[in-house]
Amino acid sequence: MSAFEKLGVCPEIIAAVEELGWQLPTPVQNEAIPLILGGGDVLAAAETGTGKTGAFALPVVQIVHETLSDQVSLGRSAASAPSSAASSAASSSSTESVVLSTQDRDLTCAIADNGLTVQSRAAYNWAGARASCGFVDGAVYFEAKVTDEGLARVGLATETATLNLGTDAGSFGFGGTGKKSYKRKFEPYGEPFGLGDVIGVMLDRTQRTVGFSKNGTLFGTAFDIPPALDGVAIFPAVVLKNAEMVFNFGATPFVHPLPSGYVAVDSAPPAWRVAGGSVAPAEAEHAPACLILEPTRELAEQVVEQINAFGKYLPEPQLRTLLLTGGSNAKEQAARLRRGVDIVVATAGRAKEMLKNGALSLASTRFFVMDEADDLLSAGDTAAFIRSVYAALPLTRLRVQIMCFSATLHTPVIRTLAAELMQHPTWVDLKGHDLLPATVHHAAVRIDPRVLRVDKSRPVFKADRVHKKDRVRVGGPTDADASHTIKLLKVQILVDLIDTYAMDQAIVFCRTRLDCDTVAAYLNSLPVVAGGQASGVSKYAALALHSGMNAKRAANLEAFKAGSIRFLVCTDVAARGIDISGLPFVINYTLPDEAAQYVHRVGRVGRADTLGLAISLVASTKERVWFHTCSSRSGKCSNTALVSDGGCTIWYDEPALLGAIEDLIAEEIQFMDAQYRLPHLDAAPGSIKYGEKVDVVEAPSSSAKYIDALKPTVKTLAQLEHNAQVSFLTMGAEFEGVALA
Amino acid sequence: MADTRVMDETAEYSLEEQEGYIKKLDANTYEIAKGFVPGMRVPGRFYVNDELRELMGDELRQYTSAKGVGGFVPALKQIANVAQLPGIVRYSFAMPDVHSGYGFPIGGVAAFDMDDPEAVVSPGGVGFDINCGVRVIRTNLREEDVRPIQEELAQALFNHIPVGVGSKGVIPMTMADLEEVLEMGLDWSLREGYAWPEDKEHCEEYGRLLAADPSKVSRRAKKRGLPQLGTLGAGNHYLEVQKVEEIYDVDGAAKMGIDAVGQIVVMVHSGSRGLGHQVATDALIEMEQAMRDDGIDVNDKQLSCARIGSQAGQDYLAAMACASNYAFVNRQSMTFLVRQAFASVFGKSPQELDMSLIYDVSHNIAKVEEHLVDGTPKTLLVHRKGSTRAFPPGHPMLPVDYTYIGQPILIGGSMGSASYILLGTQKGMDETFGSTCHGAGRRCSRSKARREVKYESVLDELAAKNVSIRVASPKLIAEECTSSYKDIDAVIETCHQKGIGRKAVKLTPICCIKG
Repeated sequence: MSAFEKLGVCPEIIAAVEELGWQLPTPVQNEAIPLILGGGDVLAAAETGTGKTGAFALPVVQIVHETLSDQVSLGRSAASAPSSAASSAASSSSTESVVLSTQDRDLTCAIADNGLTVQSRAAYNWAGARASCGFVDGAVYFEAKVTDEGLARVGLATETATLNLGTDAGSFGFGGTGKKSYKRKFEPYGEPFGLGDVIGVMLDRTQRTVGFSKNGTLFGTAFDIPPALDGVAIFPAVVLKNAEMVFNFGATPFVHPLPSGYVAVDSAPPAWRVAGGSVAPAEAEHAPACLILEPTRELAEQVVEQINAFGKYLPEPQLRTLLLTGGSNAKEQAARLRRGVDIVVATAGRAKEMLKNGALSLASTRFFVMDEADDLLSAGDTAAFIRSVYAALPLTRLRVQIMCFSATLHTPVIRTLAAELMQHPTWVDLKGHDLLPATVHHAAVRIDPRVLRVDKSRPVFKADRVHKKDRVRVGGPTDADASHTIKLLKVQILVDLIDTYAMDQAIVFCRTRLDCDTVAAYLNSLPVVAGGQASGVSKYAALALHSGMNAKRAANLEAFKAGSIRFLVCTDVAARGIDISGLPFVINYTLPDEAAQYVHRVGRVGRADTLGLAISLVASTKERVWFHTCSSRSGKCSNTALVSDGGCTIWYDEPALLGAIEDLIAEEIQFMDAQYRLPHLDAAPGSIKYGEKVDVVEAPSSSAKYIDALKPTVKTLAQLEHNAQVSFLTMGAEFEGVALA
Repeated sequence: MADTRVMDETAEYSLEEQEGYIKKLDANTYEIAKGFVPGMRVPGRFYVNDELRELMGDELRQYTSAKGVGGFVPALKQIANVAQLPGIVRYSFAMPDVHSGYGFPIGGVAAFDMDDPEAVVSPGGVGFDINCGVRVIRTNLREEDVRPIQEELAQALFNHIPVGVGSKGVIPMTMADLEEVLEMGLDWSLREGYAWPEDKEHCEEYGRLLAADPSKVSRRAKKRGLPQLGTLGAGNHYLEVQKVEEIYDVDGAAKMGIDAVGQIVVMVHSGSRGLGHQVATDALIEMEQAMRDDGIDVNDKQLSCARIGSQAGQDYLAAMACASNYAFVNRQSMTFLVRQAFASVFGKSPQELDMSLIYDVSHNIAKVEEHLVDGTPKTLLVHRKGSTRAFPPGHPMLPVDYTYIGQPILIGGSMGSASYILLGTQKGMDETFGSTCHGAGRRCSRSKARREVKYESVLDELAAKNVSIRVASPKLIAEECTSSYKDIDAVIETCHQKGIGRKAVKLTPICCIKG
């Protein structure tokens, strides 16, 4: 039996992983695979390089395949929408039965397959849904029964009105507390209702009235519909807080007699009806069962590779996986989507594009994976995009399973997202607050413009021109002087560090694209010192890697991996997903403005039990830096005024940022001394071999002191136990006789 | 005749030829003759009724007809493979709930002679979930006290007991605390106020393996264990509120504080979580090297092992003891939470509710014990993997409360099925190194169960049995449903008939909490 079998993995995938040489699952695989196969939402934290991709890609392949096989065996087309509600929700203005729309609803409001039972389990938020069809004419009636305790408000709303009924000018509500509401005005009406009560709703477009009944007792007109809404369709609607209701639009006999002058919603003639905007059924046919979002193209490619490897031996139906990232032909991708795919692995940008132009539909999506979620979310408006993805997912009784993997779970963005989108997610946090492997050493160099001297003998560094309009003097007394000096010192110390630690390879993180370009240019401009050219590569060969140069990105990355480029000078965005094993050094030329980003940057070293050193250049005072609020967002801008004065620069406070980082990683980052030694490690440069594999140094066990001292006692005890047992065995028969007597 | 011929691994044998090595000794005892697999030092022996025997035959048939696919080795072959390990004495045993596991079969018992320098210890003989075990906490409540509020009680337990891998366990811990947990086991719980003094009395090994040495546990294992203490875990682990369905031994039950049908008890089935898994994984990798060094050759590479006296062997035993201590503390922490949940639901203190621990047994562990081998006392390292220790009345390792009745053997059923409390017997001591079954035993693999069972129908079945269930992973309940397991009643009946444990109490579930 394979160790993967115990996790519930099917034999075909086990055969595939054995071929990959995987004998034993890694910790995160061991924890996450059964949970994902188990069908619950999973929120997992794991370091990159710990088998994380396998932890989700492997079970995802299995559950998607299971889903497809089920659909095939049920005689449905491979990717058809699982719910009848979704297709009937799309009914045009025919006379089909009206249901609650699975599309037009709040995120946490669930609608059963029949489209008539609606439930919200959120205890603190209202969540609502609208029917698939609205009415512009005639007089219609429907019933809704309260089937679970909780708060409910039932009523009517236009398609553009809030689902929180009665809080705007387009919706009318009647709540369980015996109040009617319109435009946030809650007034006594009828009587309170609760579990078991049947509420009747009457909409009369000709008389422009709305009324309600409870268990057959009519309460009369509740609202007069303003003439402004004439011609605007009004839909049955409901909003709930931790409650459940069952609707009857007339498909089955009503509990109470139809009020005179009204017809059942389902019996309304086509002329009265207006269909709600919802997904066309054809769209669901080829829609993917699983969407995996990745922060970068490289990661997405890796995931597709793994998925293909895992699925190799699976029987029919064959899994169709599509890589949906920028940089490749969008038309071809759209064509593949039209033909039908099962798993889409996408970067946010391309996915957004494809969703927008309708090429990608999520109508049949049952599984949604966010990989490196903290990275995903740190990029601009991705959080909003993910919410829109979530809103586009069908929410039927066959709910969407959401899996979220992240380097850390302990950031407010992740917590908010999880609380908002996921249902009782099971946490897999194998790291707790200990975010970085013990193989990463942290150090900082204090860049103090009052203490350190700029070496005038070196080539001139063309900094970021923030102080172009200031009269700055190196070593001068003003804040601007200090800031200018910091800029010159940083590049000088970067070179010193490269020399002192004889760095072969490092990633240097800068804050802006401009910094990347200037720093890389400076390194490349340096005279090549003898001995550095043995490989034909300049000792300082550097390349900038940032989002402004997408085309060359892959080539640059390859050059770095191959070693023809020694220093990759990049922004946070550009560095996502770069996985180079055994990388020895990371330099934070500028500290990131978000502490969590430090973890990402530094996570590039110390992987797979190799020692790594992360050095941060930390200015001791504030540095003035670009912060473009203008449209150019580039080096072309020369507005050096502060943002607060309508300009494009800010004062960057690295000492404060360092404190936040130390809080996050729960470790004090020690400053190097003047010779760049690591005082806390008692190590001179070169004495620790960074980039080499090490046995992870064990923290001395607190009990080690007395375990040895206790050994003789433990041995004596064992001997006593031994003696007692031997006497029992040899005298067993006699004892038994006594005992039973 | 069969045992003079040795089957050749490379050749293909018909099912009949293979079955020829298996001899039925009596109604439910079978012997696997030497030669069934190469290098067997002792015969294999297993205890199953006719129906369970058929299941094992089916496995062998599948294996024979589709040789080598998926690396799946049937339990019968695994029993025989274990018999090949150096230092094994008497038989490679399998209990009535036997099924295929990693290397060793689950439901297996194998004892190795500590005085034999060649004898080995094997992590596969203990299992990944080191000291996975069961404990039962009694109450003085009756079924009628619980039925009206069983949903509320299930929810309260689900809220109190974290099932997953929390970011912070409910028990606040630092790395230094964890070191102490590994070393002290239940003594830590006692010191920190999570245990009652009498809880310790009622744990196998008094909840603390003295051989524990935390320095032998890798940092990675400790990191995995830190946030998980006091969590139930997924897989077959569960927490159940059960009622006494039937009492077979009135005196024995009375000694355990069970006096009436309908009495409510709580069963906790959990283990050492990620920490134990990592200890096992580390040791398996370590021992691959040790085996090459010591020239130990095995039929199946999953049978990684090391000489007991070697550094790798001693390190594993010290680390395994730590993981065992962790598991004791884990179950104790959940006991603490269960007591809190009951107190809040019933408005009485746990003492008023008489929530005493009946016993705590381990069914994945290796322990040094004394046994008679051919009439002579021998010091043995007994591996029990999916098998429960079952010491007879009067055994000196038992707490004084149970001296006269024998060790309570707690057998957790599958989800929705019955569970049992058996008592240890002299017959078991003589025959199987004082061991018996541990549960129902899987009938089909998890992935097969997933394909064949719909979890919705399992939920309906449980509802029909009036069992309140809370699960974090809904599809898991398909893998864990009763039909994926062997019939627990048949397994228990076989143990009882064979005399390797006698029935005392039958329990049935009311609420079930699963990961």
